[in-house]
Amino acid sequence: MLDGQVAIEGGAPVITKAATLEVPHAKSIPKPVEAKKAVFTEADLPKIDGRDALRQIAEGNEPKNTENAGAKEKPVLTSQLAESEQHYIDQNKKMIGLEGRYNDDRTKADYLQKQIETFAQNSGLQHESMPELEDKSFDRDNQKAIMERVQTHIDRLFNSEKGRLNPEKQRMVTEQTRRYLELITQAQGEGDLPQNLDAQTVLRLIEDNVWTLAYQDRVASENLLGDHGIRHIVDYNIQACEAIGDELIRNGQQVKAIDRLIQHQIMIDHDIGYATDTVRNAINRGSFGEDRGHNALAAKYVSEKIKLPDDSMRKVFSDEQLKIIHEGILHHDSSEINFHIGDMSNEARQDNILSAIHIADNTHAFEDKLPELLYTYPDSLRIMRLMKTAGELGDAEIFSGLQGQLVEGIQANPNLSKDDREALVHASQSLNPESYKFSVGRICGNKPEFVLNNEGKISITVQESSIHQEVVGLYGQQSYDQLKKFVADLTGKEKKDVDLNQERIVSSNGKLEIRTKTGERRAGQEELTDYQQQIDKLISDRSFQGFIIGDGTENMGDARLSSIQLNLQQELKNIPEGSETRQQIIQRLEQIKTERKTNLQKYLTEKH
Amino acid sequence: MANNKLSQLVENEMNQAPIFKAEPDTPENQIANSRKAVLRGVFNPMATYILGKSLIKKGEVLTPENILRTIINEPVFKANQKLVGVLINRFGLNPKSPKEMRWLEEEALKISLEGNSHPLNILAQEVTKSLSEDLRKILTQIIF
Repeated sequence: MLDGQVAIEGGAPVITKAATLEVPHAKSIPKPVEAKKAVFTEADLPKIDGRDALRQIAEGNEPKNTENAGAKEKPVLTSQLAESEQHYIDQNKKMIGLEGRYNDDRTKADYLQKQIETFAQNSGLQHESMPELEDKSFDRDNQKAIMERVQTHIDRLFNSEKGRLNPEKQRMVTEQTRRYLELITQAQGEGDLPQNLDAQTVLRLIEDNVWTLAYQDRVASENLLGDHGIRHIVDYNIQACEAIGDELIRNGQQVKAIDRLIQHQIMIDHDIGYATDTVRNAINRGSFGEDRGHNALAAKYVSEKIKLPDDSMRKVFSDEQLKIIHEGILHHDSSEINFHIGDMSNEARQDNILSAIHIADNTHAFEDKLPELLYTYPDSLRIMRLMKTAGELGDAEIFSGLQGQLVEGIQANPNLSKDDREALVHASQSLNPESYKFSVGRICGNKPEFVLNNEGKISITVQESSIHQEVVGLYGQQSYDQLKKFVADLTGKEKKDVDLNQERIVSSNGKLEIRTKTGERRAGQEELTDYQQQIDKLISDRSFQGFIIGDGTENMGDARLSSIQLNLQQELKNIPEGSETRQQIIQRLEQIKTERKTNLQKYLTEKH
Repeated sequence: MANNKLSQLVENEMNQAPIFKAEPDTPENQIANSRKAVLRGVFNPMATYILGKSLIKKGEVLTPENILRTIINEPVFKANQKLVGVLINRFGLNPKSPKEMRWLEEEALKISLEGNSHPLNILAQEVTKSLSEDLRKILTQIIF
């Protein structure tokens, strides 16, 4: 992991000369790089043009810092960051095609930034200076004015016909943006950001962040990958980092505003790799797997972005802070956890920042981390179940009829904006008979809770979602599969060795403990989210029940018929050509398919 | 007992018997898992009925034999007692795994091929039909 960043004694920044820094992360940067334990190096000091400074002083103003940290291009820093990305790629050769995606022009920062700007422009937005901020340093007074300006962007992008129509996301981004601005102010007060930070630059950074979030959310809505939009980035990951920060403080560990601010910035950019054309287009055409290594693409975006003229991020953050941001993005899905309590060193704080990132990103899987289509249009789950039947019958006509039904439902939904509808229709069109396999298992957990003890051991308690069993069963999937996978990833165990019936699962280094509440200890009905309630309503529907379990007389129900069909197809593989049993199986298979088709058509007619 | 807890209980109990428990989805397990899925399809309605009425004794594993014996003793299914008795005698089920597995191999195909004329399918359908509203919902939740 990256070593120390902020050295503060008595609340004042300690300015040290650049020194040698050991390998920051075993998996990232192969060679020693500069500055151990340095928070601010000389290179990070505000660089103010002499004449400007004199003019500002003459006008009674403190010289304004428009060139903090990296206002000028920093080839040493950016080459170190690029080197760590290359190292990641070299270490992950098994991620087929990653190198090609990484070197693709469409993953360059200027290309992606142009796309983000065009996206915002389509909502009628552009970056505009605020005259009242001219020549002003960022402070509490103009914090409010900046928030008001950015609020118009948030409203436009998240709750209007010109963007997404989603008050919930509008609220999430509003709260996160307020918090981000407050953290900048606090970090200034703690000496970790310059007092004379240019207010226009802060405005620009916040607008960039909001646009980047909105763009990622839009792209995430188009496909059936797990959630990589606002719910994931803001509502879960950032909130989880904040909760872990609170736990560190509760145990007496120092957590500074800059630490939390860095975490916000990491999370805002960590999944931008999914939004690059190379990944987005591949996933949208159903070529799953091409998202592997998306973190390297996100890291590339940041390391190249800070080289672009007028980039706001490098004007706000120092080199060391940017390194941590980059490291956090590049290895956001790492399962390396190493919390420190009672250790105020920069190294300890940095480990804590990154450990929280890893915990947050990995544990969202414990929540219902669903594609936007399932959240926004829950009936898609029912349709996906029917598509499973159509797929097993090999009936393309019924399948496309179901797809058409889904598209019609989305188009007719008055609660969606034009842009929402376009994205969801796109996602609907990418459905296939096996889509449920990648979505259903995600409905697995509820409300992970984090508790740290005074030895730095973190305990994560996750409840099994109260509808997991039902929904997974509905699709004939093995229960808890997804939950087991994530527990295995986090604890370094093999999935097959994960026993969720144990109350506690402890990682090999003892730094992490997962407590599961499954079965009778799982969440109760009263804890169902709105989304889960809708799913519960679906599985309680009499006609849907009848389709699935049958009527107890002639109709066995689609679930049993599906099992029988799949069994006979398996048996057929082992039975020699020309045998009587083979003929029997073939005939029976035809009967079953006919029966299933009749049942499906009957259900659809009744439902219609 | 809350619906969710009961559906979970059925799942857990069934998983204690190797003959019902699905193994990881690997190519070599595919055929055995498909047979087990057929068998679960038949026995899930009965297990739901039994556990819904708390007829299983503590520590008792839901093997096919136990399920059938419990169903025999239920007054509701008196008419089927002969059928169930025949089933037990015919298949001679016991909890010993190798014998059960051989039975699974032979019988799953018969269940699949014979459909509604296979005795176990008949029994499963009759039990499904006699389930209360609540238990029908739970069976839907468990699904096979």
